[in-house]
Amino acid sequence: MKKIIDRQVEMGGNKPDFYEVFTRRNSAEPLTHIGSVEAPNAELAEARAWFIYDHEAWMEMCIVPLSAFVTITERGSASKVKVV
Amino acid sequence: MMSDMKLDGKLSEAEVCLRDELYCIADSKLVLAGWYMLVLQNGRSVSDFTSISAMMQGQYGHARALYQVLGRYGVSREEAEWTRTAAEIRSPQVLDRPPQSWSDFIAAIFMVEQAISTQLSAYKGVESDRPLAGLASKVLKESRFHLSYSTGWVKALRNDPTSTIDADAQRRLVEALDWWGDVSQPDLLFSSGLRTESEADLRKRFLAEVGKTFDVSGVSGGAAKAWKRSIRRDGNPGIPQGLYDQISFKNRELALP
Repeated sequence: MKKIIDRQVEMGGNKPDFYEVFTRRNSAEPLTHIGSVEAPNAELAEARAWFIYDHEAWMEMCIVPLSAFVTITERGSASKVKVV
Repeated sequence: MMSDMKLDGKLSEAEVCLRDELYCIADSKLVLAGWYMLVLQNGRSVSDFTSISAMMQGQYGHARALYQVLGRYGVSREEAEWTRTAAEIRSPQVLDRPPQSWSDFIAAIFMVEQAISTQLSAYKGVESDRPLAGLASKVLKESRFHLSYSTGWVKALRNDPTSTIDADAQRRLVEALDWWGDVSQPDLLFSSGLRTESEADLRKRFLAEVGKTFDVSGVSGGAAKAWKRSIRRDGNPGIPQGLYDQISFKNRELALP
């Protein structure tokens, strides 16, 4: 029997979201955007972010769903967020 | 602490129990690392591949750190990791059966990561053994993300109405509970203060944690007849030879740090 692979299901759902990742090494540093991860929920995003961006011993790492960002420049125009 | 437990140069009963339990926890991590190694190619995305690699690396590291603790009993890390046969490995029964699908893999690692973390958490507050308590705390801190990974995948799989994740989890839960197969047996580690929680309480806490994600209402509480605490299994010791052949390093000199 031929195996049928549904990519959306395999990737973990119908609507994977992007989560932006912010880190800092110490309390003197500002939280800095270092990249993003794609995941269907916050738990998986948390794990993926931690495992992918583990090149430093971060004092703090935060993730924010891209959908939570409110763009205040060029509102209403065709402004785009480049996904890294 | 250890000098108080020595009896004429031999290990005391409590010391033997602690050594056995550390073997069980470390071996669970070693075999789980082997699972991650074998499943790695099945990661659903590049970020999955990276996550499984990281969890594999983490489990190997934890296993090796725990094997080093066995140095107290005159066992070197190399001996613990390299010289034992399949019959001497003390990982839980749930890891004997290979993953049947991605969903079954997620269900199995969810149960095993949760079981190991639950058992290890009873060592982080042992005042009389600060080195082990410190190691347990560090391992638990790192394992948090392993639990997030499997929990996240369980939620994601449930988005598919045809997913078998809940049925897979029920089967894996029954297998995982063999880790606490007979909590009515005397618990010397708890009674002597070398572990801060009893086997019965740890089993209860494990079920409570699993119950946040899966239905655990149908779980029976019967004791396994031939369960042995020294291997934390019902029945014969050891893992299947086929599993051992797949997860053991063929060229150990390449794996030594």
